[in-house]
Amino acid sequence: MTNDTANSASTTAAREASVGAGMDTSLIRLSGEVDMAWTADVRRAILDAVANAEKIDAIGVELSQVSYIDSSGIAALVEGLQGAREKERRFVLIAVSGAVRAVLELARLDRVFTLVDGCDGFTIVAERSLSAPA
Amino acid sequence: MSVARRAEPVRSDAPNEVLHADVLLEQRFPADPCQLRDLRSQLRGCLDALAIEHSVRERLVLAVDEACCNIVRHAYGSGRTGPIDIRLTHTNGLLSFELTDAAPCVDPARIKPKPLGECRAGGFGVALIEAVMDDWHIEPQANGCGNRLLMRKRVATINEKKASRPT
Repeated sequence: MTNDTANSASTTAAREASVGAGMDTSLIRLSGEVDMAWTADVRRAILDAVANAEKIDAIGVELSQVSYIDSSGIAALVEGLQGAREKERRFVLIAVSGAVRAVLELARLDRVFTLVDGCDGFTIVAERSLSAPA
Repeated sequence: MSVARRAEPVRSDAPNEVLHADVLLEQRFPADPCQLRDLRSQLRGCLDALAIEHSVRERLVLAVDEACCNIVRHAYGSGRTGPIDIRLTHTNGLLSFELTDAAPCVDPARIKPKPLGECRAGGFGVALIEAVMDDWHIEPQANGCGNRLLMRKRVATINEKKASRPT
């Protein structure tokens, strides 16, 4: 393991330890290909969750079943992050798939978001699942 | 839509040398976001036939997808549509992705990548193309209607991978 890799792993672990436990969370599960044809729905769902965040601690977006994401999908996530920050809520990307992680890294946004491995520790108070249209 | 594979002679940089460009994909489709999933699938098939590494393949698919999104969103713009033509060729390890449209001509000087890593909601497309491709350029079509975007990437082909393996 290189120093960079070790530092990255420890940073991620530190971030993961600070989120999740006991957080009342509104969860959005996405699956399929998040592209320009579907982004408007994804963006609306994320911004709705942010708009209704008065009684929760965090908004989580679960991405394990997302097989593709383009820049419009990344932009929807950034909007969610910015909205959550304005409301002083956490915005967390959960179980990020390899496809999404690769685009986040390419866009150099993987360190902008809080990434966690799974939903363990979160208290899910609202949940919504969206699948890309067939 | 049509898919074609054929070899075309192209001039190389070396004098008197003619290389053959393999046309991997050539088709026209409407500038509609709903068309892009099918395009991505076809691109993956073409790139898989060259045994291109998965991560490289996905980056190339992303870059072409971003270029198409920009044509839909910015070149044609809201309320307008028209055709997009894609032509993918492979010449001696060099992939060329050519996209042409019939939208109003854009000013190439205004199409510049914004820095990556900034927390902003949009404007990543050109920067991602820049990050993925070896080179790219956009120009108005000669007839004064439409634009032509050429993106190129050198890749390790299946033959080069075989040649590099120890015997």
